[in-house]
Amino acid sequence: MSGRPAGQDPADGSSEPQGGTPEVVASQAEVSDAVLAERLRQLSQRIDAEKSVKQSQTVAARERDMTGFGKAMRLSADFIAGVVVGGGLGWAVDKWLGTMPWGMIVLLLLGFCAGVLNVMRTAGLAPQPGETGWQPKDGPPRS
Amino acid sequence: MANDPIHQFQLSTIVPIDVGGLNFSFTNSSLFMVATTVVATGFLAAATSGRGLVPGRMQMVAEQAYEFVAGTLRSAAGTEGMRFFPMVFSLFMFVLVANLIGMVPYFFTITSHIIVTFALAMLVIGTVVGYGFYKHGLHFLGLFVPHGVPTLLVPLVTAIEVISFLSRPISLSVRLFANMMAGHTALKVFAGFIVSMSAAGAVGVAGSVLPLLMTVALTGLEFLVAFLQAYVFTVLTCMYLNDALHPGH
Repeated sequence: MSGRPAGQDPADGSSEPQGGTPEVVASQAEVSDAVLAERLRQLSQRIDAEKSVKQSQTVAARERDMTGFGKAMRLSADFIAGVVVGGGLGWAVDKWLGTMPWGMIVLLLLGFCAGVLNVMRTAGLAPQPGETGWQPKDGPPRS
Repeated sequence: MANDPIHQFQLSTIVPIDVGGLNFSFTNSSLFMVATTVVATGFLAAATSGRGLVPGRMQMVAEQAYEFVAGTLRSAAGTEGMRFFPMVFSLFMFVLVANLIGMVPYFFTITSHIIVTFALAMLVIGTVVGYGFYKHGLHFLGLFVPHGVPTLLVPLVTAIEVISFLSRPISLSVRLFANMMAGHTALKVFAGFIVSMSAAGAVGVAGSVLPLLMTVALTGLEFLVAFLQAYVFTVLTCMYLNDALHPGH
Protein backbone atom coordinates (compact mmCIF):
# COMPACT_ATOMS: atom_id res chain seq x y z
CA MET A 1 0.00 0.00 0.00
CA SER A 2 2.78 2.44 0.94
CA GLY A 3 4.67 1.72 -2.28
CA ARG A 4 1.80 2.80 -4.53
CA PRO A 5 1.19 6.48 -5.37
CA ALA A 6 -1.64 8.14 -3.52
CA GLY A 7 -4.93 8.29 -5.40
CA GLN A 8 -4.28 5.22 -7.55
CA ASP A 9 -6.23 3.12 -5.15
CA PRO A 10 -9.89 4.10 -5.31
CA ALA A 11 -10.38 3.19 -1.66
CA ASP A 12 -7.79 5.82 -0.67
CA GLY A 13 -9.14 8.47 -3.06
CA SER A 14 -11.74 9.82 -0.67
CA SER A 15 -9.36 10.06 2.30
CA GLU A 16 -6.79 12.10 0.27
CA PRO A 17 -8.51 15.09 -1.31
CA GLN A 18 -5.33 16.70 -2.72
CA GLY A 19 -3.56 15.93 -6.04
CA GLY A 20 -5.91 15.69 -9.07
CA THR A 21 -8.18 13.05 -7.70
CA PRO A 22 -11.08 13.79 -10.11
CA GLU A 23 -9.11 12.88 -13.27
CA VAL A 24 -7.71 9.77 -11.67
CA VAL A 25 -11.14 8.64 -10.59
CA ALA A 26 -12.50 9.40 -14.06
CA SER A 27 -9.74 7.37 -15.77
CA GLN A 28 -10.34 4.60 -13.27
CA ALA A 29 -14.02 4.57 -14.19
CA GLU A 30 -13.11 4.56 -17.88
CA VAL A 31 -10.78 1.63 -17.43
CA SER A 32 -13.33 -0.34 -15.50
CA ASP A 33 -15.95 0.50 -18.15
CA ALA A 34 -13.65 -0.85 -20.86
CA VAL A 35 -12.92 -3.92 -18.78
CA LEU A 36 -16.60 -4.45 -18.16
CA ALA A 37 -17.41 -4.04 -21.87
CA GLU A 38 -14.71 -6.56 -22.70
CA ARG A 39 -16.11 -8.99 -20.15
CA LEU A 40 -19.62 -8.49 -21.47
CA ARG A 41 -18.43 -9.18 -25.01
CA GLN A 42 -16.66 -12.35 -23.93
CA LEU A 43 -19.71 -13.48 -22.02
CA SER A 44 -22.04 -12.96 -24.98
CA GLN A 45 -19.54 -14.79 -27.19
CA ARG A 46 -19.53 -17.72 -24.78
CA ILE A 47 -23.34 -17.72 -24.65
CA ASP A 48 -23.56 -17.63 -28.45
CA ALA A 49 -21.10 -20.50 -28.76
CA GLU A 50 -23.03 -22.55 -26.21
CA LYS A 51 -26.31 -21.78 -27.96
CA SER A 52 -25.03 -22.88 -31.38
CA VAL A 53 -23.64 -26.08 -29.87
CA LYS A 54 -27.02 -26.74 -28.23
CA GLN A 55 -28.81 -26.05 -31.52
CA SER A 56 -26.66 -28.44 -33.53
CA GLN A 57 -26.96 -31.06 -30.79
CA THR A 58 -30.76 -30.95 -30.86
CA VAL A 59 -30.82 -31.16 -34.65
CA ALA A 60 -28.50 -34.16 -34.57
CA ALA A 61 -30.60 -35.75 -31.81
CA ARG A 62 -33.75 -35.27 -33.85
CA GLU A 63 -32.23 -37.06 -36.80
CA ARG A 64 -30.89 -39.86 -34.65
CA ASP A 65 -34.26 -40.40 -32.98
CA MET A 66 -35.91 -41.37 -36.24
CA THR A 67 -35.88 -45.15 -36.31
CA GLY A 68 -36.38 -47.02 -39.57
CA PHE A 69 -40.03 -47.78 -38.87
CA GLY A 70 -40.73 -44.28 -37.65
CA LYS A 71 -39.11 -42.81 -40.72
CA ALA A 72 -41.15 -45.04 -43.05
CA MET A 73 -44.36 -44.07 -41.25
CA ARG A 74 -43.50 -40.39 -41.37
CA LEU A 75 -42.47 -40.27 -45.01
CA SER A 76 -45.46 -42.28 -46.24
CA ALA A 77 -47.89 -40.22 -44.15
CA ASP A 78 -46.39 -37.03 -45.61
CA PHE A 79 -46.71 -38.28 -49.17
CA ILE A 80 -50.23 -39.66 -48.80
CA ALA A 81 -51.40 -36.47 -47.10
CA GLY A 82 -50.27 -34.40 -50.09
CA VAL A 83 -52.08 -36.60 -52.59
CA VAL A 84 -55.24 -36.82 -50.44
CA VAL A 85 -55.43 -33.05 -49.94
CA GLY A 86 -54.84 -32.43 -53.65
CA GLY A 87 -57.50 -34.94 -54.65
CA GLY A 88 -59.94 -33.61 -52.06
CA LEU A 89 -59.46 -30.02 -53.18
CA GLY A 90 -59.92 -31.06 -56.82
CA TRP A 91 -63.13 -32.88 -55.96
CA ALA A 92 -64.45 -29.86 -54.04
CA VAL A 93 -63.55 -27.45 -56.85
CA ASP A 94 -65.30 -29.71 -59.39
CA LYS A 95 -68.36 -29.93 -57.15
CA TRP A 96 -68.62 -26.15 -56.77
CA LEU A 97 -67.67 -24.99 -60.24
CA GLY A 98 -68.99 -27.95 -62.24
CA THR A 99 -65.71 -28.39 -64.13
CA MET A 100 -66.08 -32.11 -63.84
CA PRO A 101 -62.81 -33.89 -64.57
CA TRP A 102 -60.38 -30.96 -64.81
CA GLY A 103 -60.13 -29.68 -61.27
CA MET A 104 -59.54 -33.19 -60.01
CA ILE A 105 -56.91 -33.94 -62.67
CA VAL A 106 -54.94 -30.72 -62.15
CA LEU A 107 -55.15 -30.62 -58.35
CA LEU A 108 -54.42 -34.32 -57.96
CA LEU A 109 -51.20 -33.83 -59.93
CA LEU A 110 -50.37 -30.75 -57.86
CA GLY A 111 -51.11 -32.79 -54.74
CA PHE A 112 -48.70 -35.42 -55.98
CA CYS A 113 -46.04 -32.70 -56.31
CA ALA A 114 -46.88 -31.42 -52.82
CA GLY A 115 -46.54 -34.96 -51.47
CA VAL A 116 -43.09 -35.32 -53.03
CA LEU A 117 -42.15 -31.90 -51.63
CA ASN A 118 -43.35 -32.97 -48.15
CA VAL A 119 -41.25 -36.12 -48.32
CA MET A 120 -38.17 -34.23 -49.47
CA ARG A 121 -38.62 -31.71 -46.66
CA THR A 122 -39.03 -34.41 -44.05
CA ALA A 123 -35.93 -36.16 -45.37
CA GLY A 124 -34.01 -32.88 -45.25
CA LEU A 125 -33.47 -32.77 -49.02
CA ALA A 126 -35.41 -29.55 -49.61
CA PRO A 127 -35.62 -26.26 -47.67
CA GLN A 128 -38.50 -25.60 -45.26
CA PRO A 129 -41.04 -23.01 -46.48
CA GLY A 130 -39.62 -19.49 -46.34
CA GLU A 131 -36.14 -20.72 -45.47
CA THR A 132 -33.31 -18.75 -47.04
CA GLY A 133 -29.66 -19.63 -47.40
CA TRP A 134 -30.39 -23.33 -47.38
CA GLN A 135 -27.60 -25.69 -48.37
CA PRO A 136 -28.32 -29.22 -49.58
CA LYS A 137 -26.76 -31.97 -47.54
CA ASP A 138 -24.08 -34.02 -49.22
CA GLY A 139 -26.19 -37.13 -49.55
CA PRO A 140 -29.38 -38.74 -48.34
CA PRO A 141 -29.92 -38.71 -44.54
CA ARG A 142 -28.61 -41.55 -42.46
CA SER A 143 -31.05 -44.39 -41.96
CA MET B 1 -66.01 -61.25 -30.78
CA ALA B 2 -63.19 -62.20 -28.44
CA ASN B 3 -60.97 -62.75 -31.45
CA ASP B 4 -62.02 -59.68 -33.41
CA PRO B 5 -58.98 -57.38 -33.50
CA ILE B 6 -61.10 -54.38 -34.51
CA HIS B 7 -63.59 -54.71 -31.68
CA GLN B 8 -61.38 -52.72 -29.32
CA PHE B 9 -61.92 -49.58 -31.42
CA GLN B 10 -65.73 -49.68 -31.33
CA LEU B 11 -67.54 -46.81 -29.70
CA SER B 12 -70.29 -47.53 -27.23
CA THR B 13 -72.69 -44.97 -25.84
CA ILE B 14 -72.67 -44.59 -22.08
CA VAL B 15 -74.98 -41.59 -21.61
CA PRO B 16 -77.11 -40.81 -24.67
CA ILE B 17 -77.35 -37.05 -25.26
CA ASP B 18 -79.27 -35.69 -28.21
CA VAL B 19 -79.24 -31.97 -29.02
CA GLY B 20 -81.43 -30.91 -31.94
CA GLY B 21 -81.03 -34.19 -33.80
CA LEU B 22 -77.24 -34.21 -33.32
CA ASN B 23 -75.62 -36.99 -31.41
CA PHE B 24 -73.64 -35.57 -28.47
CA SER B 25 -73.65 -38.81 -26.52
CA PHE B 26 -71.09 -39.45 -23.83
CA THR B 27 -69.26 -42.50 -25.22
CA ASN B 28 -66.46 -44.72 -23.94
CA SER B 29 -64.15 -42.46 -25.98
CA SER B 30 -65.39 -39.40 -24.06
CA LEU B 31 -64.94 -41.29 -20.81
CA PHE B 32 -61.30 -42.01 -21.59
CA MET B 33 -60.69 -38.43 -22.70
CA VAL B 34 -61.95 -37.29 -19.32
CA ALA B 35 -59.81 -39.99 -17.68
CA THR B 36 -56.75 -38.81 -19.64
CA THR B 37 -57.26 -35.22 -18.56
CA VAL B 38 -57.87 -36.20 -14.96
CA VAL B 39 -54.83 -38.51 -14.83
CA ALA B 40 -52.50 -35.98 -16.49
CA THR B 41 -53.68 -33.08 -14.33
CA GLY B 42 -53.78 -35.18 -11.18
CA PHE B 43 -50.31 -36.55 -11.76
CA LEU B 44 -48.77 -33.14 -12.37
CA ALA B 45 -50.60 -31.59 -9.43
CA ALA B 46 -49.51 -34.41 -7.12
CA ALA B 47 -45.96 -34.37 -8.47
CA THR B 48 -45.46 -30.65 -7.97
CA SER B 49 -47.33 -30.33 -4.66
CA GLY B 50 -44.18 -31.05 -2.64
CA ARG B 51 -42.09 -28.41 -4.46
CA GLY B 52 -38.94 -29.88 -2.99
CA LEU B 53 -35.63 -28.25 -3.81
CA VAL B 54 -34.34 -31.80 -4.16
CA PRO B 55 -37.08 -33.43 -6.25
CA GLY B 56 -38.61 -36.75 -5.36
CA ARG B 57 -39.34 -39.38 -7.99
CA MET B 58 -42.69 -37.98 -9.14
CA GLN B 59 -41.43 -34.41 -9.18
CA MET B 60 -38.43 -35.60 -11.16
CA VAL B 61 -40.71 -37.05 -13.85
CA ALA B 62 -42.79 -33.87 -14.00
CA GLU B 63 -39.65 -31.71 -14.22
CA GLN B 64 -38.21 -33.92 -16.94
CA ALA B 65 -41.42 -33.60 -18.94
CA TYR B 66 -41.27 -29.83 -18.54
CA GLU B 67 -37.58 -29.61 -19.47
CA PHE B 68 -38.09 -31.89 -22.44
CA VAL B 69 -41.01 -29.97 -23.94
CA ALA B 70 -39.41 -26.60 -23.19
CA GLY B 71 -36.14 -27.71 -24.82
CA THR B 72 -37.93 -29.01 -27.90
CA LEU B 73 -39.95 -25.83 -28.27
CA ARG B 74 -36.93 -23.55 -27.74
CA SER B 75 -34.78 -25.39 -30.25
CA ALA B 76 -37.52 -25.48 -32.91
CA ALA B 77 -39.22 -22.11 -32.52
CA GLY B 78 -36.74 -19.99 -30.55
CA THR B 79 -37.34 -18.20 -27.26
CA GLU B 80 -40.46 -16.42 -28.59
CA GLY B 81 -41.95 -19.86 -29.09
CA MET B 82 -42.20 -20.19 -25.31
CA ARG B 83 -45.44 -18.18 -25.38
CA PHE B 84 -47.01 -21.32 -26.84
CA PHE B 85 -45.54 -23.49 -24.11
CA PRO B 86 -48.83 -24.06 -22.22
CA MET B 87 -50.52 -25.32 -25.37
CA VAL B 88 -47.62 -27.51 -26.49
CA PHE B 89 -47.13 -28.99 -23.02
CA SER B 90 -50.86 -29.73 -22.70
CA LEU B 91 -50.88 -31.42 -26.11
CA PHE B 92 -47.81 -33.48 -25.24
CA MET B 93 -49.21 -34.62 -21.89
CA PHE B 94 -52.63 -35.36 -23.39
CA VAL B 95 -51.26 -37.48 -26.23
CA LEU B 96 -48.71 -39.24 -24.02
CA VAL B 97 -51.16 -40.07 -21.23
CA ALA B 98 -53.83 -41.11 -23.76
CA ASN B 99 -51.35 -43.47 -25.45
CA LEU B 100 -50.22 -44.92 -22.14
CA ILE B 101 -53.76 -45.38 -20.81
CA GLY B 102 -54.54 -47.22 -24.04
CA MET B 103 -51.87 -49.77 -23.13
CA VAL B 104 -53.87 -51.00 -20.14
CA PRO B 105 -55.85 -54.13 -21.15
CA TYR B 106 -59.57 -53.49 -21.81
CA PHE B 107 -58.98 -49.75 -21.92
CA PHE B 108 -59.92 -47.64 -24.91
CA THR B 109 -57.19 -45.87 -26.91
CA ILE B 110 -58.61 -42.50 -27.91
CA THR B 111 -55.64 -41.65 -30.15
CA SER B 112 -56.49 -44.66 -32.35
CA HIS B 113 -59.45 -42.70 -33.75
CA ILE B 114 -58.52 -40.37 -36.57
CA ILE B 115 -61.15 -37.81 -35.66
CA VAL B 116 -59.52 -37.28 -32.26
CA THR B 117 -56.02 -36.87 -33.68
CA PHE B 118 -57.38 -34.71 -36.51
CA ALA B 119 -59.05 -32.41 -33.99
CA LEU B 120 -55.72 -32.09 -32.15
CA ALA B 121 -53.92 -31.37 -35.45
CA MET B 122 -56.52 -28.77 -36.44
CA LEU B 123 -56.00 -27.08 -33.09
CA VAL B 124 -52.30 -26.78 -33.92
CA ILE B 125 -52.79 -25.60 -37.50
CA GLY B 126 -55.59 -23.25 -36.45
CA THR B 127 -53.21 -21.68 -33.93
CA VAL B 128 -50.47 -21.39 -36.57
CA VAL B 129 -52.77 -19.71 -39.12
CA GLY B 130 -54.53 -17.51 -36.56
CA TYR B 131 -51.35 -16.33 -34.85
CA GLY B 132 -49.52 -15.96 -38.18
CA PHE B 133 -52.16 -13.58 -39.55
CA TYR B 134 -52.50 -11.77 -36.20
CA LYS B 135 -48.75 -11.19 -35.90
CA HIS B 136 -47.67 -10.68 -39.51
CA GLY B 137 -50.90 -9.81 -41.34
CA LEU B 138 -50.79 -10.56 -45.04
CA HIS B 139 -47.01 -10.93 -44.81
CA PHE B 140 -47.77 -14.41 -43.43
CA LEU B 141 -48.83 -15.41 -46.96
CA GLY B 142 -45.19 -14.89 -47.97
CA LEU B 143 -44.69 -18.35 -46.50
CA PHE B 144 -46.25 -19.75 -49.66
CA VAL B 145 -44.13 -17.80 -52.16
CA PRO B 146 -40.57 -19.15 -52.19
CA HIS B 147 -37.63 -16.90 -53.02
CA GLY B 148 -35.64 -17.17 -56.20
CA VAL B 149 -38.31 -18.83 -58.33
CA PRO B 150 -38.79 -17.68 -61.96
CA THR B 151 -41.88 -15.43 -62.25
CA LEU B 152 -43.53 -17.81 -64.67
CA LEU B 153 -43.42 -20.65 -62.14
CA VAL B 154 -44.59 -18.65 -59.10
CA PRO B 155 -48.34 -19.52 -59.42
CA LEU B 156 -47.57 -23.22 -59.83
CA VAL B 157 -45.08 -23.36 -56.95
CA THR B 158 -47.43 -21.34 -54.74
CA ALA B 159 -50.26 -23.80 -55.44
CA ILE B 160 -47.97 -26.69 -54.51
CA GLU B 161 -46.86 -24.90 -51.33
CA VAL B 162 -50.48 -24.23 -50.34
CA ILE B 163 -51.42 -27.89 -50.83
CA SER B 164 -48.30 -28.91 -48.92
CA PHE B 165 -49.36 -26.63 -46.06
CA LEU B 166 -52.94 -27.96 -46.09
CA SER B 167 -51.62 -31.52 -45.99
CA ARG B 168 -49.88 -30.87 -42.67
CA PRO B 169 -52.86 -31.47 -40.38
CA ILE B 170 -53.63 -34.64 -42.36
CA SER B 171 -50.13 -36.07 -42.08
CA LEU B 172 -49.87 -34.98 -38.44
CA SER B 173 -53.11 -36.75 -37.51
CA VAL B 174 -52.66 -39.77 -39.78
CA ARG B 175 -49.21 -40.48 -38.32
CA LEU B 176 -50.42 -40.64 -34.72
CA PHE B 177 -53.65 -42.47 -35.52
CA ALA B 178 -52.04 -45.02 -37.88
CA ASN B 179 -49.27 -45.87 -35.42
CA MET B 180 -51.66 -46.41 -32.52
CA MET B 181 -54.26 -48.33 -34.51
CA ALA B 182 -51.76 -50.55 -36.35
CA GLY B 183 -49.89 -51.36 -33.15
CA HIS B 184 -52.99 -52.24 -31.14
CA THR B 185 -54.44 -54.31 -33.98
CA ALA B 186 -51.20 -56.28 -34.39
CA LEU B 187 -51.08 -56.86 -30.64
CA LYS B 188 -54.64 -58.17 -30.65
CA VAL B 189 -54.07 -60.38 -33.71
CA PHE B 190 -51.06 -62.10 -32.15
CA ALA B 191 -52.87 -62.46 -28.82
CA GLY B 192 -55.77 -64.03 -30.75
CA PHE B 193 -53.37 -66.59 -32.29
CA ILE B 194 -52.52 -67.87 -28.82
CA VAL B 195 -56.17 -68.65 -28.10
CA SER B 196 -56.93 -70.28 -31.46
CA MET B 197 -53.71 -72.32 -31.48
CA SER B 198 -54.14 -73.67 -27.97
CA ALA B 199 -57.61 -74.89 -29.00
CA ALA B 200 -55.84 -77.28 -31.46
CA GLY B 201 -54.57 -79.82 -28.92
CA ALA B 202 -51.19 -80.41 -27.29
CA VAL B 203 -49.14 -79.44 -30.37
CA GLY B 204 -51.08 -76.22 -30.62
CA VAL B 205 -50.50 -75.39 -26.96
CA ALA B 206 -46.76 -75.98 -27.44
CA GLY B 207 -46.75 -73.89 -30.62
CA SER B 208 -48.70 -71.05 -29.04
CA VAL B 209 -45.53 -70.09 -27.16
CA LEU B 210 -44.34 -68.36 -30.34
CA PRO B 211 -47.22 -65.86 -30.65
CA LEU B 212 -47.05 -65.37 -26.89
CA LEU B 213 -43.41 -64.27 -27.21
CA MET B 214 -44.40 -62.04 -30.09
CA THR B 215 -47.18 -60.47 -28.01
CA VAL B 216 -44.75 -59.74 -25.18
CA ALA B 217 -42.28 -58.17 -27.61
CA LEU B 218 -45.02 -56.14 -29.30
CA THR B 219 -46.23 -54.84 -25.93
CA GLY B 220 -42.76 -53.45 -25.29
CA LEU B 221 -42.67 -51.94 -28.77
CA GLU B 222 -46.08 -50.37 -28.21
CA PHE B 223 -44.86 -48.60 -25.07
CA LEU B 224 -41.97 -47.24 -27.13
CA VAL B 225 -44.38 -46.12 -29.86
CA ALA B 226 -46.62 -44.45 -27.26
CA PHE B 227 -43.71 -42.24 -26.16
CA LEU B 228 -42.28 -41.78 -29.64
CA GLN B 229 -45.54 -40.65 -31.20
CA ALA B 230 -46.22 -38.15 -28.41
CA TYR B 231 -42.69 -36.84 -29.01
CA VAL B 232 -43.13 -36.68 -32.80
CA PHE B 233 -46.45 -34.87 -32.41
CA THR B 234 -44.78 -32.33 -30.12
CA VAL B 235 -41.76 -31.80 -32.39
CA LEU B 236 -43.95 -31.23 -35.45
CA THR B 237 -46.21 -28.87 -33.49
CA CYS B 238 -43.13 -26.85 -32.58
CA MET B 239 -41.91 -26.80 -36.19
CA TYR B 240 -45.29 -25.56 -37.45
CA LEU B 241 -45.47 -22.92 -34.71
CA ASN B 242 -42.05 -21.75 -35.89
CA ASP B 243 -43.63 -20.95 -39.27
CA ALA B 244 -46.23 -18.78 -37.55
CA LEU B 245 -43.54 -16.93 -35.61
CA HIS B 246 -41.02 -16.50 -38.44
CA PRO B 247 -42.79 -16.89 -41.80
CA GLY B 248 -39.88 -15.30 -43.68
CA HIS B 249 -37.09 -16.57 -41.40
